Amino acid sequence: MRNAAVVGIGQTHHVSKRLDLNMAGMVREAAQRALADAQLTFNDIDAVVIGSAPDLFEGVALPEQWLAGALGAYGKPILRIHTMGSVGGCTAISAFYHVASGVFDKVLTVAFEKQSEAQTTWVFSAGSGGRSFSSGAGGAFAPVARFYIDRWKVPLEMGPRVAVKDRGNAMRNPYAHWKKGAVTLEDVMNSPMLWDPFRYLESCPTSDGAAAMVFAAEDIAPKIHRKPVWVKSAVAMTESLTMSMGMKALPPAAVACAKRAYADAGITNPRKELQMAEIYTPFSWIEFILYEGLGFCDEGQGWRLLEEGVTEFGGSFPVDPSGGVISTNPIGASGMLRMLEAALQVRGDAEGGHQVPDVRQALGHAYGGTINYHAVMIFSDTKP
Amino acid sequence: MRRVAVVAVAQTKFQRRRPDLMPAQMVYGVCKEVVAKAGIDRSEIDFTAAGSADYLEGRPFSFGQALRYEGAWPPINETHLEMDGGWAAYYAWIRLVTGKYDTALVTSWNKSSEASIHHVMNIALDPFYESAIGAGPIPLAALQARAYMNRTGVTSEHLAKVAVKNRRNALKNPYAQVKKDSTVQEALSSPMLSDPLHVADCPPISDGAVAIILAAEGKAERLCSRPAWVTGVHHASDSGIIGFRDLAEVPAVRAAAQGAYKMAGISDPLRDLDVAEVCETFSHQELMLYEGLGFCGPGEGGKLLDSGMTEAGGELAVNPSGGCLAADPIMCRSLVRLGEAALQVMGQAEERQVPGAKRALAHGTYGECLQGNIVWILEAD
Repeated sequence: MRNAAVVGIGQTHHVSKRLDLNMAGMVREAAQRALADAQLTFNDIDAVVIGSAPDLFEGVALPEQWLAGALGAYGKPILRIHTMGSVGGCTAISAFYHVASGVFDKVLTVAFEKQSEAQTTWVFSAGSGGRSFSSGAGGAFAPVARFYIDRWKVPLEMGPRVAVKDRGNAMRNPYAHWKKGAVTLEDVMNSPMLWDPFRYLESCPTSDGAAAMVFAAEDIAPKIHRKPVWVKSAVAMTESLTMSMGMKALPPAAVACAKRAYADAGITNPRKELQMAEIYTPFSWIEFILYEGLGFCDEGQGWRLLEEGVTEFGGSFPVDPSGGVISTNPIGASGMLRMLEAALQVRGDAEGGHQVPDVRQALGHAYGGTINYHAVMIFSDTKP
Repeated sequence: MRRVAVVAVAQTKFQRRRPDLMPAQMVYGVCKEVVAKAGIDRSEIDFTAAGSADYLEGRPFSFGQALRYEGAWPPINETHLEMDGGWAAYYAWIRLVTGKYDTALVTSWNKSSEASIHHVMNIALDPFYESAIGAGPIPLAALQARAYMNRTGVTSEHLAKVAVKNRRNALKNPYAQVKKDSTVQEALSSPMLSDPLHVADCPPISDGAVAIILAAEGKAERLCSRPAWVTGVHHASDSGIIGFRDLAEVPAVRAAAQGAYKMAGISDPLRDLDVAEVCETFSHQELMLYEGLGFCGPGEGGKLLDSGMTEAGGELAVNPSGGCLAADPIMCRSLVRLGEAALQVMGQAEERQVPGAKRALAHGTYGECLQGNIVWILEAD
């Protein structure tokens, strides 16, 4: 397998409603920004891989058919991934393998969601499991969080503290949806309870937005971008929806995914060998479960990483300096935003003051479904 | 490039309705069967790719229900594509070509009996201009058929002949749904659905599932005595906005075919290929595919059909399985064609086997009027 690197990165400014653009215009805006970053045009691209979550979010079925034109794919291959919330991650991974296989040299990948086109909680409730009680996404994850709290006897302000961290971080990210300023622990605790234990400020918004990346083969990547970001790992793991976790608040697919990703990257101590991570936390408490699943700490210790300030913006291992999914959630794009933000950190190009100093290696993670779909990419400033 | 082959194929019998199974449940049988046919344990599968469409199943995230039937426990390396399974196979092929993995399971399923195909495919169109006029697969195919007939002089009799040929071929395919020995006259007297397309020119509505195993060199030879090696593959999309296209032409079919032929070193497909399985979702499309795939020159699709060369016993048998006119499980149609072409090369096509088939073409499609196209070349050693 040959190496491939990220040579172009672009995203839209994420908002509640992009009334100025339709879906096609929105994906094209992100694609054009990634191409401009790579100083390439649509004509230079060999293949396109796109991703979005359920088509019911926009009411356009199989949108790759309509969007092929907006993404410059006439006469070219276009592939559409859909793995629930992890789709943005799996889409970037697919684009990476398109290049790593040697089949294509330059691949554009775009992930998006325009959630203002439909009612997100209705769509979630129409899916598996929650049809009869309108649970929405928060309702699906609340029991897991509750189980985690009970199992490890975690102080109840720890979940809200994730929201304080992420919404504060979002203030330094000019692309983030959340613009209302940093929040205090009191603000979060006083916000309405939506799905116990998730309060309003502990829950992700619904956003309109798109993310795009360009991957290029190892021989041409350094000619395209002054600082190609190399991919050391690209792993997606899935388990059955209903078996997820059993009686543990530790997702087996996350554990398996991280294990493979670290093996591919030659990493034995992630918190030492990585300088930061962007992980998929749409609801506060899930953050700690992911710290543990991704091997940042031992089981039951995730919440202590935040309590000790390790994962704060100024900490020794910042997590979600972009503000994360709690601050910005165009669902189909959210997974790719994690990958893209990790790559930006390695490149040293995170704008607006959310750059972590001296990032040489970073991890991007996305999950989907009942925390049963996981995707991990590890980016490095050094060619593997 | 690393060599990858299809080593096993399983499909359900396609039928108008499968009331006994939920959509995702249909993959259980084919996944189990294909793994058994390859003679492996499911733990030996390095990558799984699935293809399906939420809207055809009437709910979001529908594919999640299939995971348990794909064997996703303990966690597996898996990706779902919201596309025809033929493209899931393409992604699996990409993964195997990297050299990182040796074996992949690809599956897709379709239960469009539960959906209104017209309404689902209507909302796949450009939402501002084309969805709004109520367009859907049959009327759009009719516009394409008329444009093609006007350009080439192909007649309604030619269309009827394709339908008669494919459904007669289907008599030998135990998995096909619509099979009959009929006449051109009978096809022409079937009701007109959307001028110039008669009922006989249109595909049936089909429920079913399909699964294949892909394996890389080193492994493939151990799993199959005569693997169907992928020697060429490429795919390409045309505009999804119908109004932007010249419907009498199929540039994306040409682009996909040229890519696959270049990789496989094919210069004269009519002579170099022994058999082709193509997605003629409407009868006229088979003739357009003859042209697009380079089996004949521009405007000569009808002539090639008349020559009998594409009949089951002809020089290049096209759709010995009966094609999409005999069974059209929408999200599986391209993967079924790949499976059928592989069975031909593997010498496992039973009664529909083209004697001595060594090199086969499989064509898949998505969207309306042959928008997206994939072409595979499979060869025996």
